[in-house]
Amino acid sequence: MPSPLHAAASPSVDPSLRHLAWARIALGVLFLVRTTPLCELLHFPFETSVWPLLGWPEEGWAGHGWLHLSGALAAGVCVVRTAAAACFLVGWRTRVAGLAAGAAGYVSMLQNPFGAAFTLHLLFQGAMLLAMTDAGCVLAWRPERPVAPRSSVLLVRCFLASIYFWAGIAKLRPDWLDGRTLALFQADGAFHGWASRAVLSTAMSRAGCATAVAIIELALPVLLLWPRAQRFGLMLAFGLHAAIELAARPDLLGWEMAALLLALWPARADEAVGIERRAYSHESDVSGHPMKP
Amino acid sequence: MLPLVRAHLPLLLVGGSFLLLSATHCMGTEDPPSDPSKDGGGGSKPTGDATAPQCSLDFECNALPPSTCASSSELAYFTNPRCVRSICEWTRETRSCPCFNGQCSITTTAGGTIGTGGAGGASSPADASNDHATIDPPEGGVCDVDADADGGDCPLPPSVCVDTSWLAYFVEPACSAGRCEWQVLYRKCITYCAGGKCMTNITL
Repeated sequence: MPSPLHAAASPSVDPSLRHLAWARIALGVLFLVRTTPLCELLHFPFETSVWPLLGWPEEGWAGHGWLHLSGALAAGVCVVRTAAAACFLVGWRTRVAGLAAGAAGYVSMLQNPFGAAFTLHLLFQGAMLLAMTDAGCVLAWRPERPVAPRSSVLLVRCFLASIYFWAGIAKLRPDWLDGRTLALFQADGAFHGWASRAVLSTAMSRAGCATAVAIIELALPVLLLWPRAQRFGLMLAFGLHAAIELAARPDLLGWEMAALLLALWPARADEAVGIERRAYSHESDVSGHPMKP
Repeated sequence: MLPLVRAHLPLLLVGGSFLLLSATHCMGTEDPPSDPSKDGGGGSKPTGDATAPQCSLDFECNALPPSTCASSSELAYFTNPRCVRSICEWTRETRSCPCFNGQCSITTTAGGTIGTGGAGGASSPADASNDHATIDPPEGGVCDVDADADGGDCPLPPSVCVDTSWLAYFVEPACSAGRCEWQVLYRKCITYCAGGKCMTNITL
């Protein structure tokens, strides 16, 4: 019996399923890193209270969250979230696990009025999104039956395009475009020293960088959705996140986007032929016409 | 093996990059030096030596080195944490005061008290616990005891980061014996503390 790794690499497997599985595995790892003490173990500075798990009830002032659960219940939600994320990662009942991990993540997040970071939103929404796709059909402990691989990829594509679109729209304001926001981030020490010295040293360079980011984010939805530009759009998106990651330390958001972008990885030329054949066979099956060899 | 690597190359690349980043973080964070007084000098100047922790961002240097007595009449303390060429640097400041055990020994009319900050300020923060560093309130300055009882003559000082996780903020301003006093409270930041603020995650 071939291993899941070999099975997923087989030419008979739709590459979309493999790419969706990559996204699931990458996002699952990030989920566990960001919500468990692994975050502290790896010395990521984003979260200071992940012991024993993110959102674990603590004594003392915590503010008024959107939702208030008793300590035991809140702790239980954290445990469920982590267990579900682990199942999602290994591909055991992926659909249920991903939805449960995301939902439990939201419940635990709503306990803390200051805990609703974009990074966590994307993490939980991403897990729920992939759970609704065919991301658990290969590279999985218990592979599920594929339902609609191409539609699954389209769903992820639209989700990512919407994130870039709204991020770009939100930056169409003077205090972002003239670089003031970047200057404030810079004053708070959010950028690495080299970026502050080399790229963000003057008001003009900050304005240039800010405008470039806004333009790229507004262009990415078009590039990701337009079939002829998808490959370029994908590279541009990876490049944007790599550049931001090198210049600053924006939590794990860039990595989460990269994980989801893996689902959009283009099929190789030889795989693309297989996709066409499978699509044709499927259409022939549905219409009742004989299949071509 | 090679076809397998080729088949899953994008995932391996993203995973490898992430591991590389994690490794950089692991190597880049160490505890601050216990005694930076050997940096010497007086007044205000940048300090940082081979024992200073490595860093990549300014806020990683927020754990200031402890104050020391430069002499029996001079306290040396550290401010302005920043990351310069991947090494933490602080500005060493001095102030004249009777110095003992890294603290200014101040005698007021109300009785003796010890603190790095000076005469002003209330002691014993209400919610201070042993699991985080604490600060002494800043020097209060003179105030009018006949002013409003709500401390209107004593504006609240800006909040400060005690370390990378804890924010110290000031409440209940009061004018006591002609000096401003505040109570210090502490709050653990959800993400990290930098520049006197609990930071939110940046999302570009």
